Amino acid sequence: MSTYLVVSLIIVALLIATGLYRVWAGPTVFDRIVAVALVSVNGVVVLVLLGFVFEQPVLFLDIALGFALLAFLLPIALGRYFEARDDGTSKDGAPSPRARARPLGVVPHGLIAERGRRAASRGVARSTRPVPPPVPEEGAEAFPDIPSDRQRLEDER
Amino acid sequence: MIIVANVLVGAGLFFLVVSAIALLIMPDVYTRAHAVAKSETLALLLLFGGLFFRPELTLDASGLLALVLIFSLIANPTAIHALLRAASRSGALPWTVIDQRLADEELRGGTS
Repeated sequence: MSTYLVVSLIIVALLIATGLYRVWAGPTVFDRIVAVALVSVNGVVVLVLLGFVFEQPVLFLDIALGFALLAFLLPIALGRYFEARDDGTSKDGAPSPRARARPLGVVPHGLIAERGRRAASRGVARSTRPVPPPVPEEGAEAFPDIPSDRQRLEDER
Repeated sequence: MIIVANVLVGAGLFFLVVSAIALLIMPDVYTRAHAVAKSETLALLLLFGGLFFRPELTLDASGLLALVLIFSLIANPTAIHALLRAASRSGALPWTVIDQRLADEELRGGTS
């Protein structure tokens, strides 16, 4: 029972709590999954350190290995599940069953505008970057220069 | 020997703390995932490498620890990369562009 390892264990447990705050607050679902990945890796670290604190490393390392496998599979599976195509079509041009009205990776507009309002009220120095072109209208192509999959299929016919 | 172990474990803890703080304060999903993928992987390398010098480690436990270490080093950045590819296909934009544009609209008095 090493005091140094016990203190390390408590610190990593506190880091898990901070990661859970991002799971609660993160604006998009992918922020939450990234935070879950951090929590899982910290859980593996906690299990390994527990094995060394209790001086039974083999027992806890077996569990840590299984937990590491789960921590590898979870972000990949959830990422594939929440993934959406830009124009909502599948390869044959029909609407994809995974198409969503608003893609899940997009941060809601109110949050970003609120952040900009807060920065302006704090008197944050404005950047001199050129302002990008305005948002296209609803239903327009997001990237007009790049042909979408549907256009490419119609050209090939 | 135990001093080497403690120094390496302390360095690993430092990088774990760095990645957790970055996850809290970074503005968009790409920078957060950057913190998780790179800093956490380095932290795992240092921390588990330090645990190899602990006196509690037996021979079969060291084999298991090496297995956990190698698997985590490969799996953690791979999982985050697959997740970020899904995020970018789902319309996640980098932080600077959208923030600048919408802050400008907000300062001109546009509705949000």
